[in-house]
Amino acid sequence: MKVSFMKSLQSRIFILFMFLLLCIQMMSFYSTYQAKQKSETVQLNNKIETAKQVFETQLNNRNYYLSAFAETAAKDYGLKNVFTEDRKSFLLALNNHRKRISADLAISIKSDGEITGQLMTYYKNNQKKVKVGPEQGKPFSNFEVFTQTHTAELYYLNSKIYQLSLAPLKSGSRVIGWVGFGYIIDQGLANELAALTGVNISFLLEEPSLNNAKQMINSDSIDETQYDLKLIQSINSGSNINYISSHFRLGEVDNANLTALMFQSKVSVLKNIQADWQQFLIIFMFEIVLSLCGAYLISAGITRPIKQLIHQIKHIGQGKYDHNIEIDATHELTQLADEFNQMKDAVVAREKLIRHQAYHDSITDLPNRNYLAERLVEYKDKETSFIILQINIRRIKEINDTLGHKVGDKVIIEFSNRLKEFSLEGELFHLGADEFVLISQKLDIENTISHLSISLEPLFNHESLNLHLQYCIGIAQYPEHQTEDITDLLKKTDIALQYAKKHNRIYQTYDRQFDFNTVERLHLINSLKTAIEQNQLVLHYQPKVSLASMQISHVEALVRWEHPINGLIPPDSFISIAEQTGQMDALTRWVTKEAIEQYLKWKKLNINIKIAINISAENLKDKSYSDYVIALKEDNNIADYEITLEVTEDAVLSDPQQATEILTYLKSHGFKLSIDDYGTGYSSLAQLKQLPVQELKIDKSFVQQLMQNKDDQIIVRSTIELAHNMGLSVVAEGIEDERTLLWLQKHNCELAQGYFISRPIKAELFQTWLKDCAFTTAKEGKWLKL
Amino acid sequence: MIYKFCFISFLFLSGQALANSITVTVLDPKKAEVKGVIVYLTPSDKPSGNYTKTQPLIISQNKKKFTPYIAVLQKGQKIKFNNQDDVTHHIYSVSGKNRFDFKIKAGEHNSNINISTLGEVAMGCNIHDWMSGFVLVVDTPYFNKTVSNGVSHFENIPSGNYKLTIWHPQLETNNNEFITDVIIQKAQNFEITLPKALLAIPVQQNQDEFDFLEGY
Repeated sequence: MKVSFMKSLQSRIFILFMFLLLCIQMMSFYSTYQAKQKSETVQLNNKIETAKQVFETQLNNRNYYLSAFAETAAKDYGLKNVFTEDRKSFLLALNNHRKRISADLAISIKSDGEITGQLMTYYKNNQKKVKVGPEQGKPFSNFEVFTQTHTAELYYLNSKIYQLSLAPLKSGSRVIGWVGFGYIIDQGLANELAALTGVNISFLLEEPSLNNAKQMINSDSIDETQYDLKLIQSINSGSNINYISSHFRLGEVDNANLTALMFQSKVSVLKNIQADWQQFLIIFMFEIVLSLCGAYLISAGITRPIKQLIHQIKHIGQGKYDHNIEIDATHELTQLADEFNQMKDAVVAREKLIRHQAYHDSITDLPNRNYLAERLVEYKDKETSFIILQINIRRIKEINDTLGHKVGDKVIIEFSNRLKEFSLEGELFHLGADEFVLISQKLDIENTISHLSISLEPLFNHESLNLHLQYCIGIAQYPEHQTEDITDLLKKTDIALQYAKKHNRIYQTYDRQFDFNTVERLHLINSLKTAIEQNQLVLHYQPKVSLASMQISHVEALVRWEHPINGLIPPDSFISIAEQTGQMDALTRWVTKEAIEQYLKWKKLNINIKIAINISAENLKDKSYSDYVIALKEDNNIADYEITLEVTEDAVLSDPQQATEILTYLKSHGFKLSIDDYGTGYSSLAQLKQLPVQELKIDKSFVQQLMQNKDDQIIVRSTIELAHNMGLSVVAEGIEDERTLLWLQKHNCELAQGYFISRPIKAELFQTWLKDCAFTTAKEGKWLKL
Repeated sequence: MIYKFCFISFLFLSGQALANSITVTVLDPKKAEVKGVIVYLTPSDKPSGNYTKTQPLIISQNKKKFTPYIAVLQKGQKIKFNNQDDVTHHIYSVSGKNRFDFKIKAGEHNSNINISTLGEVAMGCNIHDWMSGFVLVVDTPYFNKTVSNGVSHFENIPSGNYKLTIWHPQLETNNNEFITDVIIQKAQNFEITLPKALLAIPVQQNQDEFDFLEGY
């Protein structure tokens, strides 16, 4: 059975674990990610803040340094002393001071603002040199700004920017001039500060109105990116989010703002964090994979014993009970497995019981019909010959009704016990109620029956009531009565049994003749009606010889069914069907009509033959048939006693009074009435005496072996005598040889009928036969050629 | 108006040399009396007389201060530095033509300095940066300093035309002076209102916490 993924326990456990693990992982990831983001922000902020602080400190230090040095230098007496003396001496003194702090610019200003000395460094062949500046002798611009502050201010000279600090040169408290020292702001400084702060430094000159850097001094890139003006402008305006940056305004120079831009790409700042983060991500992915594997293993581990269990239970489900469920699992599941084992044992026991019950009868504990069916198949497979006896206890219903079911059951048990004694010779089955079956491989039926009857003969004593166990047996032989389905053998025994019952015999071996009760029969029932309507029926005529004259004086009309598929169907088969399905009246009327028409045809052909028609009990129930046949006779002006109506003893006996009445009615209208098949029924002569018949028809079973059987001769002779004494004429049928014919003639039997004379033949054939036969008709006066 | 007046006075008093008592009151623009500023009268029409006094101008160094802070020296007068401190001073002046410097040990004095050029001599001490003193060299015997009520008193000033000059190093005017032409004929009171208030006078005191020397 294929289960959907989500319905599988393993999947569910797996998904649960996966979910939990992923949740934990994701939480861990989230917090780590947050920490990382925070740490990044902190690091970025720290970096730029620290850089800014370092930068400011450095710049302030320089500032302070310059101020302090200018202050100190201004207080130097030697410098003061030569300030107003000759310029050369002063410049030398000024340069001395400049050198002490490696200032890039030294300047002296008179109290009226005129620059008295200006020294500036420059590089020549990579060597630092000093020269007199271009502004010497000129007025100092921004004099007010510089003299009123103690800090360094920006000074623009020769397109270069200096940090310059001035200190007053005093005589006592009188300011007689100013000296100042300055450092250049150049790439060297930018590099130095970049090295200290760890970020890129750019000094930008921005026109306040344009808000655009026009000149810049860049440190060498510390993060391997080349910076151009455009990039730096974008960083400066804060629009480039890939960089952290900070401004520091140094001051105004040359009508522009000098700003220090500190910046660095976030990537390079976070390089370490990124590296850590990548490592973390790899570990994280690895963890997830491990977690999933773990979840899978756990879920598989939990469900493995369940799967084992399912697998083994499936085996049991298929009926394989031979091994116990064994699983390698926790206590609970092992317990479950034990329970399954117990359940399995219980199921096995119950199944055994059910199987026993299924194959054995509950009262006698003998194998039942199911078992028989299996056994029969086995017999068939082994290709052994056997006889099968279906034994029926007779009148068990009466016992049940009179003595109660308990006694009935006791009788059945007693019967079965007796059969069991016998069952040594074969296999015994109890099909239920009063039906038993015996299979024996001793093929001698007579012998088997006689053994059986010895076993079953003794009286059954129940509470001083002696019961005679009557039974009836139907027998089939294998392979003689082989059927396509071996179990159909039972149908045959059943048919044989029914036959035996019907004919009051203890046993009957199956004969194919009996077997017209089955599907074919059902089929015929349906098609008989159409057969009558569509003239599938045909009349054959069997001649009767008047023994006194040896003339063919009579024929018996016998109906035949020429079935388009089944061929010629013997009357025994379909007449019983017609009787049972209420079609007998219709059939008889058809036969009657046909026979009379034939009689009339022959009459025209000058063939004077009386005709006999068989009628059944059905036709004697009321006068409708009688009226029909009377009407036919009278319509055709047929003379009295030309038509004989043959009726069996049984037909009369079912309702003798009514039958007598009808027969009397028919007789009064000029029909000759004949008792057919005399000797096979139970009619007594007393009864016969009451009937208005004129003829007895001795059954062919007495006649067929008349010459061999003395008893038959006695019966026939006495019957003839008896009939004659009662005023009845006698017909013997079943004459198969000449001796019988002559014997009957000798004993004054009136008419003879049989294969020796002719089989039943069609009307046309009959005419031909009549011309060629050894007998004469009344008209021709032909004599038997003997 | 003043000029008109002066001109009339001159015509009336010419040729007479009367000794007059003059009082000059110096006020700042807010009419507060200004103390300690130099006031001197310079005759406009005739040269001032030669220096007649023999006693020198004494500038003491007391408690590492120039005492007095401002002094006036009539041209030709001697100047004597008197070190009353227990430390050496290195007195100097690097302003203008009256440049000098010398060291003066504790308790010694020095009278060898000649100051002959008119105008301001700004002095300092090369050892004690805070020390500051001024000597104004004038070519007139009529000079004085205002006292606490801003008044400076002159006696025996001959009638005549004078430049009345107010000077102080902290007076932020051209050459730290404010000149008024006056005609003196009688005892007179002049009230001079300065165009600017004086700046703060620098305190001659060590600004550092380095004062352990005081204990020596």
